[in-house]
Amino acid sequence: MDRPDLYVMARILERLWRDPSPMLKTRLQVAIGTNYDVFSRYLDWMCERGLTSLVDEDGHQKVLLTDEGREAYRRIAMWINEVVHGKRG
Amino acid sequence: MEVGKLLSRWWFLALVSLGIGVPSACLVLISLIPEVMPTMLLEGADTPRLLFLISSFLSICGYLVSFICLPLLIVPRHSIDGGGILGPDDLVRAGFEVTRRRDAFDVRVAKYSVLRMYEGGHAFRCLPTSTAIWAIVLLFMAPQLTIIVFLIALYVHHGCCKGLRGMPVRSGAPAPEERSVEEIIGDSLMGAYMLAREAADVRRSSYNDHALILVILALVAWVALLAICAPDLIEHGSFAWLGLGTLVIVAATAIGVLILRERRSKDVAREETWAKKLLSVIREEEGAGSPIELLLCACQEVPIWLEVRRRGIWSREPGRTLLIFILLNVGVGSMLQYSYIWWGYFFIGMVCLAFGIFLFSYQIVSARFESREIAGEWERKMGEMDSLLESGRGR
Repeated sequence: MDRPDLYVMARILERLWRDPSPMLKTRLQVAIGTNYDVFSRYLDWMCERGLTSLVDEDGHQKVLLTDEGREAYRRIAMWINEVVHGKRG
Repeated sequence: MEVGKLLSRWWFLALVSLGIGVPSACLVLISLIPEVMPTMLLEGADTPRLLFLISSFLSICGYLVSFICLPLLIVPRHSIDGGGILGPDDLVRAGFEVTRRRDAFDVRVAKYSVLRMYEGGHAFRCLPTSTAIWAIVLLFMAPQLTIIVFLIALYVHHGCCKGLRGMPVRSGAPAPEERSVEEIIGDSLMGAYMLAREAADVRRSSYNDHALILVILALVAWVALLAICAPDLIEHGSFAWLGLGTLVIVAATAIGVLILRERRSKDVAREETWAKKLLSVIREEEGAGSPIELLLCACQEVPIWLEVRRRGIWSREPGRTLLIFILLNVGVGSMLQYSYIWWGYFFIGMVCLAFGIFLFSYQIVSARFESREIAGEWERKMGEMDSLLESGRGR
């Protein structure tokens, strides 16, 4: 994937941020509201960059937000805050 | 809540204005028209002279009282004892209409009254809303009715005083320095909501302003039509052209107002939809959607909202707008009438006019610079968007 959509990425990060325990891939995909292929591509991209990691629990693959992922989510939140409040008179 | 001494005695405004304004008006009247007063008092007044005297007194008294009570209303900053008023975000959650300013925020506390809060809610100023400003501006155009401005000022002042007593006060320690991500997102949602809300309000009030300008243009056109048709009216007594012209002007004005209304409703609805979406996420309503995604979409709208806000500069700074209007009005009036009153009025009028034009130009130029700066900053921030997910990009 060359250029990921920040909106989808932010949705994934937000969902994982809210739920700190590992989340089932299918549950996360339903929560994000994209089809499985697109979701898988995004998840692979995020795992490659260390934003998320996959863990095996009870025979299921679950997704977990890494420290880098938490930092990325914080950066997005800070960036939005600066856009909204920045230079406002 | 205990408020500043001056505000708690809102009638102070009335007493000072009347106490200075009425005797001063009498003195001005006597000095300007010395032959009228003694004649009236000594020999008894006939009706036209009495009417002229009352009209002159009402005009001078109205302007003087208004010029005293308006600065008394707008200029002073009053302090609030105790913990101060809640922050703008908390006030929005409590159902107040809040608008952020540079180093301050406005809270609408009554239909025609706004409180401008400073120093984190520990000091405030009383201001009229844009509707009240328009009413004041229109009244200044009718000299004999200017005294009504005094009543509006009192009403606005009373509204501020009453509204302040009903506002929630801050309790407990101030917020900690380090903010969590949830707090940052909450703050962003509130900031975006306020921008959208303000954009909707500015678009709505700009319709009223444009409609008013259209009606004034129609009246000017009708007066011009009357002047053109006057010879025909006097010589032939024919109302045909005047009637036809009046119909055309009325129809054109009505169509113009309808088009403006149509355009306004689309723009206002757009901003209202954004404000509603953001508010439903702030209130965590069911099915409100993802806050972060909504905020990312809202970021694209920010320059539009800021541009709308720039265009609403006249209602954003009501005190300065009113001052500009008063200066221009006094300037033009004095320069036109100095020959009947006193030559010094020409000089005073020129100074007022020059200062009014300077403030007017400054307001427009500073708004343009501010807009350009904001647009540049926004583009720079949007350019950073793609690099947000790169790891190790510290701030």
